[in-house]
Amino acid sequence: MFGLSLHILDLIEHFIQAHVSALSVAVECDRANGILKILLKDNSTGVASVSDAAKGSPLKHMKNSSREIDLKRLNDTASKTDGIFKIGKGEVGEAIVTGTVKLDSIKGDIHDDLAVMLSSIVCTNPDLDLTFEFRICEENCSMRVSDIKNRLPPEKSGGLTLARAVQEKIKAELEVFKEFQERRSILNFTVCPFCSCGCQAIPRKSVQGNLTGLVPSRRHPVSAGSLCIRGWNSVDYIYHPDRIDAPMIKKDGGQIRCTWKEALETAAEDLKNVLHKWGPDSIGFIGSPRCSNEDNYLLMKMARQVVGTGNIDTGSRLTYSPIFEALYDSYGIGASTTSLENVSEAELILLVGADVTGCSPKAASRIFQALNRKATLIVVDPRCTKIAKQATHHWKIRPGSDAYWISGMISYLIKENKVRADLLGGENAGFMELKKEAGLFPMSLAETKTWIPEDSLRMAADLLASVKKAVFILGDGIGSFDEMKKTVYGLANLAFITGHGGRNGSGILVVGGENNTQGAWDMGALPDRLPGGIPIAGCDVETRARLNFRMPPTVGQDYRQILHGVMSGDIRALYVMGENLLAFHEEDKAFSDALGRLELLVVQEIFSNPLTAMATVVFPASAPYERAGTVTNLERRVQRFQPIVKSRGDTRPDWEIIYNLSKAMGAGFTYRTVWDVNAEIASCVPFYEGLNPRLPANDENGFLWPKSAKNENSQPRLRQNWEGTIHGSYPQEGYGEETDEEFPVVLILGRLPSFWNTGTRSSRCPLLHREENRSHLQLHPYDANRFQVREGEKVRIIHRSGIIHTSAVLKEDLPAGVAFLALHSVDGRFAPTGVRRIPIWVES
Amino acid sequence: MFAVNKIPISGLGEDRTIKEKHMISTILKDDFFTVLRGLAKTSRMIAPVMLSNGELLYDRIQCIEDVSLQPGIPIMSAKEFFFSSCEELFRFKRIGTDAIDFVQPEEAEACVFLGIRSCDLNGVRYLERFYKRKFNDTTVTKKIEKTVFISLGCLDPGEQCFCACCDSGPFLSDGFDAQLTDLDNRWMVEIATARAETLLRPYDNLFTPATDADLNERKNILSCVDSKFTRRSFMAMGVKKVSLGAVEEEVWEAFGDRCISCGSCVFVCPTCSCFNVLDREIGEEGVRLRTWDACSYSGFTREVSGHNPRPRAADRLKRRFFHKLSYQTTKDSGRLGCMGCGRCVVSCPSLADISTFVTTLRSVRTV
Repeated sequence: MFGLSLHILDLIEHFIQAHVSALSVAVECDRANGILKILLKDNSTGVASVSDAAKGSPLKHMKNSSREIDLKRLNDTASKTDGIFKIGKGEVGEAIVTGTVKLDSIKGDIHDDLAVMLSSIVCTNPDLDLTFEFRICEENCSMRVSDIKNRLPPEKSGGLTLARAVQEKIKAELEVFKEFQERRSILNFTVCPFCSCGCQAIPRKSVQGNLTGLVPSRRHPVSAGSLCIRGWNSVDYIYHPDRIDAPMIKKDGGQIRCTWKEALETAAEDLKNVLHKWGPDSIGFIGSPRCSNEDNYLLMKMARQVVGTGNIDTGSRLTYSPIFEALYDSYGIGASTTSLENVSEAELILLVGADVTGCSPKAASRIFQALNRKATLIVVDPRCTKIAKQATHHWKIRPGSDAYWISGMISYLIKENKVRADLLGGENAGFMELKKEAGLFPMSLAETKTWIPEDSLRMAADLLASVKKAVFILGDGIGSFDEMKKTVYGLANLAFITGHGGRNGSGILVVGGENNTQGAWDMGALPDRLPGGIPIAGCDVETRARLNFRMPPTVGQDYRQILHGVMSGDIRALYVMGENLLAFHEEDKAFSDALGRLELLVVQEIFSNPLTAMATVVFPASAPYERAGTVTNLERRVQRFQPIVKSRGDTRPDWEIIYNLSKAMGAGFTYRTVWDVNAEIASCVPFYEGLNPRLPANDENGFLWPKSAKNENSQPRLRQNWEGTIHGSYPQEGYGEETDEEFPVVLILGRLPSFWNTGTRSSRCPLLHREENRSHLQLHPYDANRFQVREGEKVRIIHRSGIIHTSAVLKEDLPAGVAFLALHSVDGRFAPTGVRRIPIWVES
Repeated sequence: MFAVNKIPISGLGEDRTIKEKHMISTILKDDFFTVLRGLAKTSRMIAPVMLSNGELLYDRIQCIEDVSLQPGIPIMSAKEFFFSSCEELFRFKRIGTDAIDFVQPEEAEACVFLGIRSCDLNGVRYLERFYKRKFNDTTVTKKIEKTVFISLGCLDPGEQCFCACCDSGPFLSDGFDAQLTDLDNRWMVEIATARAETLLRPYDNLFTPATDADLNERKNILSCVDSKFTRRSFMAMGVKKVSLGAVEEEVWEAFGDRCISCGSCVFVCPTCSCFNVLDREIGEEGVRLRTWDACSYSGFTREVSGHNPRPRAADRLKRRFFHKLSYQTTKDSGRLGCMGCGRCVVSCPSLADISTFVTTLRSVRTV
C-alpha cells in the first residue's frame, strides 16, 4: 500500500521535468467501483506560454525523451500500486495522463496527504499554474494556485507563504471529504472484546454519532449471524463515568490531572531512576490478554529492549499459560490444533473443564451443530452445565481427577492394542515410557479416583479409537495450576495415540480465555518465552536474528514471582497494562500496602479503580472500540479491528502510550501507525507472516495462523501427521488439598457468563450487571442441609487460609460434596496461587 | 391519472391518505437511480447498503451509490430506526441542589425508507400498533408517521425465510406508501398513498403507466415466488397447539435446555418491543436512555426480592413462543407475532428458533 501522494507526485514530477508552465490535476473518488480516478493535463496554452528561452525545447523534450521515460517509470509505479496509467494527447496538443488506482491500495489519510503534497509542489515550483480539482460523489472542490497567489501581497506570493496558504485552502476545501470518510467509518468492522471466540461485529450508531450497539456479521465464520449476551450488550461501558479521560500523576500526596507530556516525562524519569538505582530486574511488567497483539508486543519489547528485563507476564499465567506450554511441548505450537469449523463436523466431541455455553458460546454453537449431525458428545464436568444436559454422556467427575480418567483410557487402549502405532513413527521413546507404566493405571483405579464408571470409560476409549474425526475441547477448569500441564499432556497423548492429534477434522481446541489470551502468548509477553512462544532456553541464532532487538539473555520472573517480589520488596517499580491487580486482592491489605511501598507504579487503564488510585502515573487508555489493531482468537484466527467510535477525552491506544514512553526513555522506535507495529510482528513471528499489512490479501475474516507471506490461503490445520512428542502424563498422588471432617466440601472455581471475569467492563454494562452482578455460592441441597444453610442466606465460606463472604444458592445440578463459586469473586489470598479446588466449611 | 380518495386512517394524520386504487407504473432502473439521487437531496433516506464483505444492512444513506437493492434479507430488521437499540429520551442537568433542567431531544425528521422488505414493513406496522395502544408513545410513533415507506417485494426468498407462512410477504397488499417489483431492467412502482405520489411527482416524466402486459408479468412473477420458499413453518398448527396447551412438556424442556439466553432472537426480531430504561450520568449532567431488553434474560423478570417467576431458560422460552404464537394471535393484535423474516433462524446459536420449534411440533405426536 502506498500513500496517495506517491501515485500523484510521481506523475506531477514527470510534467515538471518537461518544463510545463500550467498543469491541472483532477482526482475523482468513485466509491461505487472502489477506485480513484486521476487525471493530469497540461494545457497547450500553458506549454505555449513557456518563457522564450525554453520555448521549443520543452515540447520536443516531452515528445522525444521524457515521455518514454515517463511510461517506463509510470509502469513501475503502476505495478507497485495496482494502478493503471495511460498517456494520451488531447485535441489541442496537450499531454493527458489518466490513471485509476484501487481505493483499497491507498494507505493513510488521503485528505492530509493531498494537502501536504500539493503545497510542497507549490513551494518548489511557485511559477507553475496549478489547478486542482477533487470530486467525490456529488461533492466538488476546486482551486487554482494563481487565485490564491493573487490574494497574497506581492512580496509574499512565493515560496513558503504560498505553500502554507495552499495547504490551508486545500485542508478547508477537503473538509467535506474528511467528513465523508468519517461517515463511512460507521461500516468498519470490529471484533467483540469479551471472550476468546472473536466474533466480528458491525457497529450501530445514533444520529448524534454515539455508539448504540453491535450487530453480528453473518458471513464471518465465527459470529455467523449471532452474538452472545455480552456481545449484544457490550457497548455501554465506554460511556461510563468511571472512564479515565486524562493522564494523572501523583503530586504532593494526591493525584492531579496533567498533560501527556508531563505524564510521559514523569514516568520516563522515574523508570530511569529505578533502573539506575536498582537495576533492570527490579522492574516488573504486567501485560494483558485483553489488549491487542500490538500492545503486548510493544510492552514486551519495551521491557526487554528499553528496560532490559525479562520480568514480563500476563494474568493468564495461572489459567492458560500452562495449557499453551503443554501444547507447545507436545505439538510444537502453543495453541489449539483445530478450528471451530472442525467442531461442527466432528463425530465425537470430548469436552473437559469448560462451561462453553457461558464462556465460549460460539464453541457451544458449533457443538449444537455437531449434535444435530448425530455426533457423540462426552462432557466431563462436576457441574451439570447447560452443555452437559445436551451430552450423550455426562461424567460428573470428582473435581481435579482428570489425569486419572485420561491415564485409565490410555492404559486401556495400550493394553487392548488399539493404538494407532502407524502414526507414532516407529520407536517413540515417549510412547515406550507410557507403555511401560500402563499397567499401573487400570480402569478400576480410574473409577475409584474419578467416580466415572469403568464401562463408560471403556466405551469412550473404544469410540475414540474407532471414529475418524474427534475433537477435544478443553478449558481452564482442568485442575489447579500445578496439575494443568500434566492433564493437558495426557489429553495430547490420548489424541496422539488415537490418531486425533492433527488429523484433518480432529484436534484439541482450547476455549474460555479472554479476547486475546492466545495473542498475548504468541507475542511473547512471557518471562521465559519470546515472540512465537519460543523458549528463551532453546532459542537459536536464527530466531534471535529475526527478532532484531536487544534482549536480556536470562529468563525473567513470572506473574506470581513479580507479585511476590512486590510483597518482598524486590520489585521496586511495576508497570501494569489493563490488569486490575486489586480485583483479586481487594481484601488483602498486606498486598495493597506492598503496592503502596513501590517506588513507581505506572498503570494503563480505561477505568479508575483502586489500583489507579495508588499509581504514580496513570495513562488513560482507549477502549477497544476506539482503536485499531489485531487480536487472535481461540482457534488462532488473527483478526484486524478498526476504530468504530471516537476516542473518549484524551485517551490513547495502549501501543501508542508504550511507544511514546519508550521514546521518552530514549529508545529509537519509529512507528507511525499501529500497522507499522503490525508489520514488525509479521517479520518477527514466523507464523504471523501473513499479517503483513503491505500484503493485499487481508480479508475481513482474518486468517488462522500459521500463514506465510506467500501463501494466500490460511491452512485449516497445521500438519497431516504429528511428529509431536509424548510426555509423561500419569498423575502422582498428593495433588492439592484433600477434604476432611473439618472441611468436608470441595469448592470449585469457575466463570460466569454475564459477569465477565472481574467484571471491570461487564458490570459497567447495565443489562449485564442486572443479569449477574456477583457470584453466589452454589451448594447441593444435601450439603446445604449439612451446613444448615437456606437458599438466599448470607454465608461465610471458611477455608484453610481465610474466609469468603457471599450468599448461598441451592443447586441440584452439582454432585453432593461439591460447591461452586466464580473464580474472580474470591478473596485473592489464594487466587494468585492458581488453586482451583478448595476444601471448605460453610456457616450461615 | 387515478383519483385520490381521501380516507384518513384514524390517528395517522391526513397526510397518509390511501388511494382508492393503487397507481401502478414502471420506470427504467437507470431512471429510478436519478429519482433516488433527487430524493436523497431533499430528504433523509434509509436503505439497504452492501458492506464490503457482501452483507446487507439497512443504514442511513450518505452517498446514493451505496444503496443496494439486491435480493437477500438485511442483517437487522427495520425496527432499529424507529425503536432504537439505545434511544435518548431526554437530557437533564442538575441546577443547584434541588432543580433539574430537562431538554427534550429534537423531533425526528421526515425520512424516506427505501427498499424495506415486506416482512420488515409488517413488523414496523406491528410496532406502531403496539406503541399506539392505550398510550401513544410518540418517540416511536412519530418517527414511523414521518417516514415514507417504499418497500421492495422479494423475488428470491432466502433459505431462512417463511413470511408466506406468516401472512407477511413476500409482497404486500397494504401498509406501504409505494412498493417496488423487479421487472428485469425496470421497476414496477405501485403507489398507494398521496404522499408517495407527492414525493415522486417531480419525476413524473420518468414513469410510464403500467400496461396490461406489465401487470401480467408481475402476476406471473408473484405466482412463481411462492414455489421458491424452501422453509415451511406450519404456523396455524403452532398457534393451535400452543393455545390449547397441547405441546408436550418434553418439547418445551428440550428447547429450553438448548437456549443459552443470548437474546439474539429478540434483538433481530422485527416485532419484539421490550425495553429497559436507564440513566447515564456524568457529573451534573445526564441522559435518560431507553435500550432494548430481552425476555430471554433472567434479569428481565427477576423481582426485587430475588424471586424469579421464570427462573429457567425453558420457562422464558415457553413464554416467548406462547406470546408470539398464541397471545398475539388470539388475545392481542389478531395476527401472529412472527413475521417469518427468518432472522432468528440464522441468529440462534442453539438452533432453537421459532420455526424449528413449530416444525418440531408437527413431527411430535400430541396426546
